[in-house]
Amino acid sequence: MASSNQQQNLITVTVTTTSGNYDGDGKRFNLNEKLSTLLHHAAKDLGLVNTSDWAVRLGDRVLDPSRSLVENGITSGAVIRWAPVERGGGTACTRS
Amino acid sequence: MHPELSRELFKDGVEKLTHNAVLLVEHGWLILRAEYPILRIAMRHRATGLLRVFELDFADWNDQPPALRLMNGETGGDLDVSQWPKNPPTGTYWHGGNWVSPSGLLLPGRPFMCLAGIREYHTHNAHQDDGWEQYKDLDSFTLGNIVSQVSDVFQKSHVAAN
Repeated sequence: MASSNQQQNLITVTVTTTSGNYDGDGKRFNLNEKLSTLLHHAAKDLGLVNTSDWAVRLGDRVLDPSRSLVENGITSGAVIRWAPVERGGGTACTRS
Repeated sequence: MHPELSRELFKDGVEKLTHNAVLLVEHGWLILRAEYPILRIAMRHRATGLLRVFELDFADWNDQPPALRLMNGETGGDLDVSQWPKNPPTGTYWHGGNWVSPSGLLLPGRPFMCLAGIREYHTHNAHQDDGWEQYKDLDSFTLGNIVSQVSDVFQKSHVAAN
């Protein structure tokens, strides 16, 4: 059985993408787990392959996948958005 | 692209949005119409609370990327260019006119969004070397993720009531 401290370190998180959502089927994630690990599981579950240019956000804040859930300020019940980063507009369009 | 196959791809992509309430709430999207080839979405600008209505035309999806226009949500007509979002310091996306066809024909009165994944970008005279073919099979350029990228740009742009 998990200790009280271990229980306190476990949170629920949902990753939402345009391909679907991942919450580990209700699994509780360790606050000290790296965000990249969670995203890896999400990518596998949702069948995402090319995500190298994607960003993960909580509200308007961009998160750092190399840091843990707690270091990213993720609390239980959080919904984080994972989506491609747009590649910038084209100033060339202004030349006519 | 065969019209029926295009319709199926559109339906599949749209259902991934319409069936995902969490996603719609998080992004502040309200889908107003989803009937091939038209996807019409109201987006809420988080910084101001203002709404803008985007209409994407997915005709010939995904051999062609969607064309985009901003609509007046009350009249259904084109949104006056004065109401279009204004470019953030980080990029040039919104153009109040002067779209140039592949053959070089200048259309002064046609506002457009300049962003990879949008038809007006790939068919603009200045971007003929950046064809849609190299994007169409990427995860970042699915129907939903094109909408997401438009939304990202909208969120970081300046939007004013008048």
